[in-house]
Amino acid sequence: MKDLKTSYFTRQGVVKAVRGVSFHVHSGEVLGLAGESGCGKTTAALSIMRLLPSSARIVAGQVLFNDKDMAAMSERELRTVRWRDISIIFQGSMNALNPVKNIGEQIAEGILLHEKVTREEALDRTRNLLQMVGINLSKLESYPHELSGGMRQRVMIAMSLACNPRLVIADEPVTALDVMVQAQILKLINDLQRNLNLSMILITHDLSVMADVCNRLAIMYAGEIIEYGSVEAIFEEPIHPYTQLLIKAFPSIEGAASELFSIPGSPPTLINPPSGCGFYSRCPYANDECSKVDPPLVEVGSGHFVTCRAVGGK
Amino acid sequence: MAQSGMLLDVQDLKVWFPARTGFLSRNKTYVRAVDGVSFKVAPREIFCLVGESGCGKTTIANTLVRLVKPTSGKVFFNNIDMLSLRKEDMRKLRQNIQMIFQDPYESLNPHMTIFDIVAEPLEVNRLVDRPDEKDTRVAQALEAVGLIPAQSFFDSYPHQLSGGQRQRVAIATALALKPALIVADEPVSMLDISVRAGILKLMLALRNEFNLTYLFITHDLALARHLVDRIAVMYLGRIVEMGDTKSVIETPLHPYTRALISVVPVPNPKAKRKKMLLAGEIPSPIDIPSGCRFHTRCPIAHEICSKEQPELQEVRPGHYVACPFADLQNA
Repeated sequence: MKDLKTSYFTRQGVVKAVRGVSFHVHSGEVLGLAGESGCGKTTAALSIMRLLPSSARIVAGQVLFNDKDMAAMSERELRTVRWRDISIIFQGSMNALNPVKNIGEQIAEGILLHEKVTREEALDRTRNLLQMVGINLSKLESYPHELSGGMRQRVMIAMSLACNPRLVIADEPVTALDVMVQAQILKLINDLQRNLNLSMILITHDLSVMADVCNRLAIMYAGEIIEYGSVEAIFEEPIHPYTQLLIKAFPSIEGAASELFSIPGSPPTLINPPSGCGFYSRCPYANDECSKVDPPLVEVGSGHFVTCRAVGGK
Repeated sequence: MAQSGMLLDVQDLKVWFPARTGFLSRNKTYVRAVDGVSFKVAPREIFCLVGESGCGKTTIANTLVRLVKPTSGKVFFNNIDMLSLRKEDMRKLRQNIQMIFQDPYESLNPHMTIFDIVAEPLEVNRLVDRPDEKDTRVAQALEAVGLIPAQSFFDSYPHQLSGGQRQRVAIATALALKPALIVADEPVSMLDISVRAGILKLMLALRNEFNLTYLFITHDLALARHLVDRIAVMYLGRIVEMGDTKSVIETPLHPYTRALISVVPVPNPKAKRKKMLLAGEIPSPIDIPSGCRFHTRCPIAHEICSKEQPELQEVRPGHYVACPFADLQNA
């Protein structure tokens, strides 16, 4: 993804949700996109698939997949890539699945739509997929409402793998689930990703989940990536003040009980985003210049980039 | 009898809901949402019920504020048997127990101004006579939750506020009646992580200022670790383990608690924690397994576990567990 800009055109004004985001995903790796609500992580991900709502438009930038720019493709070309090469796992499995079709049909339908196979072959593959995600074949003809949240999320995962994609985008795949089910699904995603050598973009607000699953991490704030690097680098040597504070704000079940920590203030509105650094108003290290000049992207370690003038307040 | 010195004393509480099994079905079945729960909360304590969806924690909360009628059991509040009170007495007592709900986007009436939202409980309970008195009480409540200057929020509507501010309004509404106990049902789980701690710290500050007691309900063990005094872990309508936060989190004894704590993700990529994944899902509360209701998923289940329901036993001072095979040595 190169310098992507996506905006929502609303009655209140143009919301610049993604303001120049660049990243790449190596094959076989899991890249995490982290940030709080409204930081643009989901919009960035939906921009890849061009599954944006009608009020949103990619204003600038490129989304290169195998050297082809998906942002410039016609809808027809896009259909050859979408779902076949790149698929997505949505957060709300209850809303993402069709309530009046049983799960077997739903998955088979996806295969039939994208590939020239017979109905029998499609159903065969559906059975394999369900087994792969740990769903008993007796559930093949169940409807979504008959399944638990964890089961539905497994169906979503099976569906995303139906056409053997190379890149899977998972948007908050475990957010609405209970801890134990969350752990089961994360293990499943982890195992599948390794066994099938999938590339993945995992989107979540939960840094603890990221620490568990991802290879590299990009932290977003106010429509921009403010820091990215290996998971180890981000957690052990976070440089951007926002990253540092965000990690501090996450309570850990390990270690002694400590005082809870919050970041005062709130993110800027993206209708008229402020000049300079988006985190300026909440940053403890900010100086005058930060509010005027866009912070440069600095490489602070191998593959570890930060956009901050005051670099970590040092 | 209630134990003296306790603000809240819940004894063998059961809340069953009739389940519709079929139009002509004769056998009445029940969703046994809460099935024999006892606990006590001391004044100024933060007591936490944790568990996964469907474990009954929210039903207990709703029972305490009388949104739900219990099937059996006793609830003493300040040594008063709440469930035997007449309507008028209950209404008076109810002012002392206030609730904060999970979703500040839905719990505030979108058509009312912040002033009217906070003033409503005062009016309903006829606590203010003069308009200026009402102004003062509302302003005090808003200031107590950090919405300052209070007057600047009077004419705002909920949609003009951020999620954190809305939850502060919800707390102000609860606070306006000067309660002794606040039941907080997942009060921060809808909020972004960077504003969560602000709300929780506010709740702690209010406890000191107004001598509040909290019944805190959450699924987030990591959060509970840093906030609450005592924890009760629930599974399928019963408490399986209860004790000081430190002992329950650091030396969990019940196999369910141990598994639950082991799978909580940790914000540290180097932490190599051994995860005890449980197979399958929580059984339906309509069709509860016999004996220990955890035996179908328990890694250390014995034959007797499917026959006899274990009761909570105090195995260490203040630390209770409902499992005869809990590993006391290696915990």
